[in-house]
Amino acid sequence: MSDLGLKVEGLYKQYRLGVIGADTLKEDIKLTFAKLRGKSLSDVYKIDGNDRMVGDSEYVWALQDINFEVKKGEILGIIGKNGAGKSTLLKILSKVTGPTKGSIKVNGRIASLLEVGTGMHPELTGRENIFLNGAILGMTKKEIKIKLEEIVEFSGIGKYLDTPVKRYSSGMKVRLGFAVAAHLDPEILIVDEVLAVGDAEFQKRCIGKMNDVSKNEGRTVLFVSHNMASIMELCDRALLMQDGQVHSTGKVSDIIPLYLSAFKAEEITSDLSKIKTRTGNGKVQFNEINILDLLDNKIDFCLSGQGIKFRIKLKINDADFHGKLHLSMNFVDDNDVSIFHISNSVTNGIEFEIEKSKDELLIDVTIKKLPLNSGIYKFHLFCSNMQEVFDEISFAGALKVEGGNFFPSGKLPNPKVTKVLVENSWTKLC
Amino acid sequence: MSKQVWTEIITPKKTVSVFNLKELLNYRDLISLFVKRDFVTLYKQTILGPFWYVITPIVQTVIYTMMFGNIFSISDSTGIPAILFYLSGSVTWAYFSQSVIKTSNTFSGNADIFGKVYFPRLVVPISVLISNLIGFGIQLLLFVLFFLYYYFFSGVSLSFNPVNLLWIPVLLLNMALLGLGIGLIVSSLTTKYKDFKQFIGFGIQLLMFMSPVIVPMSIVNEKFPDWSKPILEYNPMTPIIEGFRAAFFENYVFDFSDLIYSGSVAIVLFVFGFYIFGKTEQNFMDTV
Repeated sequence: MSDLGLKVEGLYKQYRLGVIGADTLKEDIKLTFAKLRGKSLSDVYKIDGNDRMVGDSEYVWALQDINFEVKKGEILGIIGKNGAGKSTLLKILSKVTGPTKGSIKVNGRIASLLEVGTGMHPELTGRENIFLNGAILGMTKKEIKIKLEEIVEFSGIGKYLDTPVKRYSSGMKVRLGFAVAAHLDPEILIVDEVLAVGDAEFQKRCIGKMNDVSKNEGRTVLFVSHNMASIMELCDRALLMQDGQVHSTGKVSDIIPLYLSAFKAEEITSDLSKIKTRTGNGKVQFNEINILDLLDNKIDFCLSGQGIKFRIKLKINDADFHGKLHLSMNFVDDNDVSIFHISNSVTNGIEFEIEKSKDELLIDVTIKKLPLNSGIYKFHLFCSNMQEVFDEISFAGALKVEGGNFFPSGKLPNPKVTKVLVENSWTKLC
Repeated sequence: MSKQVWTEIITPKKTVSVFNLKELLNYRDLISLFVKRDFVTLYKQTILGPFWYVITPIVQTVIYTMMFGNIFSISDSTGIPAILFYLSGSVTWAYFSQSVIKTSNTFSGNADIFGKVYFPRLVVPISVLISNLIGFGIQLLLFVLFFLYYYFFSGVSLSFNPVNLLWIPVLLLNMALLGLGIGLIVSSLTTKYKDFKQFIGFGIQLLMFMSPVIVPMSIVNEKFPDWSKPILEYNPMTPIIEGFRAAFFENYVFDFSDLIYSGSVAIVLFVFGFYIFGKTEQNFMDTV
């Protein structure tokens, strides 16, 4: 028997961009008259798709013809690039905003972990806030009373229970909010890791709770994340969204590669010739850089543990140039702390030897297994002949790394603790 | 295969139904918690605390009595001591104006919570009405104390008939519906055009000067220019304020059948407000 927990049919959501003001009143009136004449919005205005770069209409479809089903007790991962419509979908599921067309059929109470601590009042005590917060999330006083003890214990606020929440540390507030949400016992739980506030510890608890809720209590979970590692670890099935539409659904192992390759690369970093902030005498200059996977597809982000290549095009401006060429890349994290440095002279033990009368060079830098945790890393490019500096570009581009399975376990350490991943093994000897 | 059951179906809302009211009942605990929150937090970290409920109407009454009491010679023409006349006016008006102003802020003031979690949006204005009721109760008690003082100790003879007090719940319901109706309409309109928020602030104040808070209708009919009379007469708050006075003073000139007009305006505004609120609540997050 396969009971469904949720069924989404032909769901559309339309948004209007721009500012609301005197102009929109004019449009509203126009629209009202059009409706009176029996026309619909799409007759009057052109409605663009969700691709934010294309089209000039003020009306866009944030979601277009979304159809999917979730079985009871299943964890469905929802993935997609920023702006693919994931959050809009969740908003409609949690009834914060309504669909424009289509329907969602639900079996049971929906709750989402993104509204942790909503409606808490700083002047009220912890106890009062537990009741208030619980009631906002849809519990009755009776239900909360039964669970009060559990909630207090889970939150760890202890003797602060009867102190106004404004005296709490921010961590305590989050814990209290989460404790209430976690004891809501919804049939369908929505977790949006993208929006989840709180530290890694807290996010881990969210995920732990999710797993628990689904595996042990047979509840349905919808999980939105950019971290492929946790998607792989937790979810049975995944749904890939692109430009407001369902790109595909299926087994996690089938969908994630699609996510990684289906998108055309945004060529952010490729053209280096126009970068002005560079030093060096310019005899040789970096002209282009592209990030590729090992199959030579352009990618705009990669996974921890994935194999990647940097394809660098260099231009030789000095016709007489020949001899040694030293190239290096330095990767820094978002605090500009150097993470690692690679160069041809160290890796190969010797610089490239360039013969005379060449005007272009094409170089591949391959990293077989990217040892970086999820995050954004910028890289510097440097080239010289060990005596004079030809070209140096700080912040030539950025490498966006998402969680992947660097380790066979599919887990990753907290990116705040470590940026670099090192292959290792642990063995109990006695 | 067992038959698939759905507990809920989310679709674009086309109609507004009374189902909303039934759903509201499931959230009665939330209403009571909101009421408690509003009451408890309103005067937190103030020295006088709930006494503020009493201070406001007293100060208003004193000012009105000093400014207008002699001009209109209230006690001579109505048979009510000026203090009691003005106190009754400001207590009733306070409930109405507070209800309108606070409920009209429902969507824009709670966008933060509404943007994250769903519960019937009507919970908020209803709880506002109820927490205002607490304030009204306290102020009514104040009025009763003053009334008792005048009744027993002042030597003024007041014509009091306890049966007339039964009108008070009717007046209160009328006032609540009226306030809620206007509040729901304004709050729905404010989601898109914030102009209405500016408007309601001074609109309510204007309306007060077009009501018998300061001058009894008997004087209006006698001394005011002809063009101004219909304005006061058609104000739906007029019968409520006058009725409140008549409930305590039997010889105060008032016909309770005038309430039918006020009641029907309140019902029309409430039904319209409920409808437009229901139309707005599903998608207001997109425009607010």
